[in-house]
Amino acid sequence: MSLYFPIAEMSLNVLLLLFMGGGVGFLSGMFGIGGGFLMTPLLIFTGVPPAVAVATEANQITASSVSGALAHFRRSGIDIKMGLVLMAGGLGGSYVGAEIFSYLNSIGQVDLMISLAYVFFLGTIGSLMLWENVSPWLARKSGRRVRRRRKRHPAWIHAWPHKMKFKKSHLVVSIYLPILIGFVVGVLAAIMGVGGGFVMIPALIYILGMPGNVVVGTSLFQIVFVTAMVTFFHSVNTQTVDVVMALVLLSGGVIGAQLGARAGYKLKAEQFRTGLAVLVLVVCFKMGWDLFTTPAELYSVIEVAR
Amino acid sequence: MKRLVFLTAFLMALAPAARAQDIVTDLSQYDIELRHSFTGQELLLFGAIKRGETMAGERYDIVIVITGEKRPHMVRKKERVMGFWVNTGGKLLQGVPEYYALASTRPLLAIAPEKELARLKIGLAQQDFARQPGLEDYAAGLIRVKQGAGLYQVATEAMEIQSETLFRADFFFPANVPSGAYTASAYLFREGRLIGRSDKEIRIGKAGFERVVYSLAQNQPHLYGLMAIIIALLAGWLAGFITRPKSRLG
Repeated sequence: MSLYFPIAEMSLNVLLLLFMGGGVGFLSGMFGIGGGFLMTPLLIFTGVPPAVAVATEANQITASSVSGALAHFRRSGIDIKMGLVLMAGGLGGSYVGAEIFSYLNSIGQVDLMISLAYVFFLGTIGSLMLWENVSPWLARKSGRRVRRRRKRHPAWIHAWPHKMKFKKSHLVVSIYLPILIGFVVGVLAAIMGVGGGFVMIPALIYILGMPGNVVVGTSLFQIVFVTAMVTFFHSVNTQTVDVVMALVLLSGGVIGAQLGARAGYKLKAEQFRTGLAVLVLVVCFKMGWDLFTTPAELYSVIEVAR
Repeated sequence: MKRLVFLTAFLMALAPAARAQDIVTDLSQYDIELRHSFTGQELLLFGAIKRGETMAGERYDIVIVITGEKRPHMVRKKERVMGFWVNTGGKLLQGVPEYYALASTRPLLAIAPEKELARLKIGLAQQDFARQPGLEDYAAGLIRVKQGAGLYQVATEAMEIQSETLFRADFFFPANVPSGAYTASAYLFREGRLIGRSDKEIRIGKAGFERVVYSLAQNQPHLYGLMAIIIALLAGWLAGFITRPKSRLG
């Protein structure tokens, strides 16, 4: 069953897209990850132009994050003030990211940049996740005691000026820190088609020292807005947002996330975490492999200004 | 006497024009709509040739060409830079048809001399973009890419003239065919000379919902962006609303 997608200008099998949405949604539900960093490469491997994959995935993440953000809002698990400051940074970041994106698009280097960004981030995150899961196991094997160093809230951040009080997070930090974090995540969202939770959450915990009960909610809150802005900028700059495709992916994702969440209760997610790490590294490897191996066709063609 | 010469000259000048009527064609479809269910479309071109006094052994040939709109295309070549395969500075090729399909009764050079093919711009090798000096490699690369995408199809010896009058050719527009105005031209050759020609227009356009989405994205990008956001927020909220009771049970 094929469907013609008007922006991607291609026909794709709907069942395949639903299955992809469902699969990534399943992992999202199970591990509480956004899944953009898996979905965008999958779309590219399917043959969707990378620029369309990135912009469309940003649109899908807006949709898939909004219900989570609302749930956290009802439980008052969002530091709204922090979220707004992060958003201010995110607005600037997604604008700059989208500008970089359309500039590289115009000189034909956007695919390369997307691949490089993915190889770097997936490689780093996959390795860290794998290490986190394997190292205690290795330590137990060799009989050493597991040592967990958790360095929170490094001292240097207090040196930054213009402090602001965030009541909900019990924090007084320089306003530039969350703006900077929001900015970086905004850039990543615009050029990689991800929510950026994998950077945002560690940054909120380890750099700002936010308490755990508001971290996920605040991150989701900011992701909804930043991916919405990314959607807008890509729509205006490169016309690469395929709403129809985003909705198909979302439909699969919603079902997958439900199944994943239930599976997460029953199964020991710890065991699957290693599996996820391996999966992330496989995607990273495939992207890197495509950059290094001699391509079957050296020439690529883009129609100018249609 | 002078009048007679003039009349003769006039009639002779008119003759090729009359000859152009010697080939008639029709299409199975003039309008192709790119809808959500579009997975490609077959098109049948059929026609007949009207022969005058045929000399024994005279050979007739037909070439049918369907071309899309001609636009500039940027062609980039990948080169190895520090181990990576990277796009290097591109070359702009002018007058590249978005779609090009050719069917003929014999190999092109057997039908007519190259000079005649070049004059009529029949065949990929005779297109403007393929004749830009110094860019032959890029043009060849473009042709390979387009052929791989199914947008360029050349099938010489794909047709026969039946009973010395009837001919038909099947064409295929793949799912990724660009919208636009297409021309289907049939050329009739006798002994290497063009003696008739017939041109038909085909329109390929996005239709219905797809057309609305596409033209909105192109013409009203700000509005499109806002709508994409609103649709995503609503869809996400709705999805959460539907699935929420279940997750409470879970």
